[in-house]
Amino acid sequence: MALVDVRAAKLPDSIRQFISANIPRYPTPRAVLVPALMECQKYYGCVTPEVSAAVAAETGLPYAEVQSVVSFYAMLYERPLGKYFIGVCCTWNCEHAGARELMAHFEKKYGGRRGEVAGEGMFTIEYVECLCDCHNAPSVQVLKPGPEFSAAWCNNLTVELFDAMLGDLAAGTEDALRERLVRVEEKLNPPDERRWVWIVTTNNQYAAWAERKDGEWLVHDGQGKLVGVKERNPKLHAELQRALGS
Amino acid sequence: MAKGKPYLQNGIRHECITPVTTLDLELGIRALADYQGKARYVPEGQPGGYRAAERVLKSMQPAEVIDAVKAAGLRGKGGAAFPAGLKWSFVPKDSPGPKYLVINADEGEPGTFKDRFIMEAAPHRLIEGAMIACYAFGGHDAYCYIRGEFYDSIRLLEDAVREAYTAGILGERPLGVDYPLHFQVHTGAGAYICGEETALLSSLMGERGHPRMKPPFPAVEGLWRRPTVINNVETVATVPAIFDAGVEWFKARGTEKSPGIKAVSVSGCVRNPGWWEIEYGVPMSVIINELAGGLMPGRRLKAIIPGGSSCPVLRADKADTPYDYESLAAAGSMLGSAAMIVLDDSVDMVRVMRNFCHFYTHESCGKCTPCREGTRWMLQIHERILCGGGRSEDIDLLHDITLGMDAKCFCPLGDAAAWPVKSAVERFREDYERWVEKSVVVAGGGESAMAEAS
Repeated sequence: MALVDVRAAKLPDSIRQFISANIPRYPTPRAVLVPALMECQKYYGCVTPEVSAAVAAETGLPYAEVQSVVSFYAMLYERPLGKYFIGVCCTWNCEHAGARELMAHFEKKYGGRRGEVAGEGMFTIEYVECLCDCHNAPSVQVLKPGPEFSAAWCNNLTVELFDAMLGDLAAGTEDALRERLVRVEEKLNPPDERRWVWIVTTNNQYAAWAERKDGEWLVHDGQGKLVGVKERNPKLHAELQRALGS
Repeated sequence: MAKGKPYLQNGIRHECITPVTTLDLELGIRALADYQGKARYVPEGQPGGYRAAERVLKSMQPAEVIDAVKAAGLRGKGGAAFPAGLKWSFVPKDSPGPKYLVINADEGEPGTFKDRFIMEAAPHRLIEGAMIACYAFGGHDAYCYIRGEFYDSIRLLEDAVREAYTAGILGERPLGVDYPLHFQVHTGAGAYICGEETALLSSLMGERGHPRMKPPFPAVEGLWRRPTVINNVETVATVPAIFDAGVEWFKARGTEKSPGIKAVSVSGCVRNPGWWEIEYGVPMSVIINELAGGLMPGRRLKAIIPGGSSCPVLRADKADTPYDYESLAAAGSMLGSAAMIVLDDSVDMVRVMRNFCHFYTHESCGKCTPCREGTRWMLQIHERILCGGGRSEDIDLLHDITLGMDAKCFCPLGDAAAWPVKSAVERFREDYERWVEKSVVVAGGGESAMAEAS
């Protein structure tokens, strides 16, 4: 590893504020280290030695101690990644549901191997261990580092849906990570006489009941997450209408 | 199971529609009906609106709180099933200086997805439980350690904490009582090992997530060498239900030794994988067939992993085992974190175990040799078998390695890696033999791509 100029890096104000606001909440300043490094990961997309050095300066810890922590945790990457980080869960449920096909498709289409920057700097894809989203397998988490960090789940994926999502991301389409419909199933054991369906989307699964009002289907789920779907996500609404039939 | 109570009532209540969380299902539904993607303080006067915490803080002595939790028989829901009230009572009462509550939200066990839902759908229930727990053993600070991947849970829980501080529910005088209570959300950075309590404490103190030898147990010497109680999210979120609805209400559910309700996550080869609340004691076949929609058409049940990837695999003939700690132990497995992974006859056990071995190899922290080396050996042997290079002695070798790992490490990760493989070799030996019999060690065997994938 090259020598690190500890004076070179300076953390952005948001992270410095995060650190100074959180230190008083713990008995020792060191406790803030892992959350602070996560903030750096979210901001820069990586924790290079320069960033570690800046964190060390900010928290008053030795650089070597910071680096020892960085090297332990799987979510802290020491080299720069693409604009979007795509974490494909490879633990059994997701592997069984086709995670390896998703990876193979990506590598074929964008050329980069996992862990590399591919698609002209757009993507870095990597296998990650269980994301605890096993009911929505295969599960993928898409992270966009930067001052405006964002994270999105893309679940229940098929190769076609994954391909469409990647295409939209590469093209910069605004709603690339919007919730899409994967399938609708009639529920096997409906709890009452209403029409119960399982709605599987790229974000979640819903046990919901559907009613027809004014010529269109309204769906109600226990979480209330589908309330107002027509306004929030017209495309998903249209997909639902099609899938529920006339 | 509750005496004469139907555990499947009307679909809305037990069918998870829902991340119901409060364990009092009606309260849960109400919290959720109100939930539209943002955590929201449940207004005063409504069920669940910090009524339990208010009553405890204003009218109960700490010892009474611990006694009530002990009487209710609440058991830890993170995997070890240690009685929560007993754990709280281990904290030395006369010790001066701070004591801490640490909430373990480092949910990482393959197959588990319950804590997420609790934090996202009813974060206030968790805060309320933390307040009661802190009060019971004399702590003032709660730290909730959430794994870094749960961006939504972190955001929603932080919102809820902010709301609680603004509403005067947390702070120097919570709910007007002179007993300071603080709640801090702490993010991890991607390490399964940090779900182990001593590793979690190391990580929370800003170090590498390495476990350490016990004793001293954290209840005596934990975070910053102070007495520390570590409870799972679900355990803490269950506490308010005991004070809302009463000890008798709680004990009337579940079995005698496992009272109450459990969040079970079902995944794998079922039609509708998901998250349900059940009473302890429901047969596993009912959970699979009536809640999770049964198997895919034309498939037969092959195996069940009842409690997450760390638990021994059960053959299909155990499917009617009641889902509680004692019955599952008698059947040769564990309830663990109640993450049921269902495997049908399309699944090859060797591939499943290769995947699990890969997981544990990746997640072993490397501190103890049996775990660090054992997980790698097991992974390599599985890959050799899948590449067509398996030898007949490999099956017994795998079994030997698991014996060398079991109970030989500081923390249970070594055991967790060994148990599923040990049970698979013992109970599904025919799967291994099928691979070994056709093994011819051909260059470029069909499985190489699979084995190379990490």
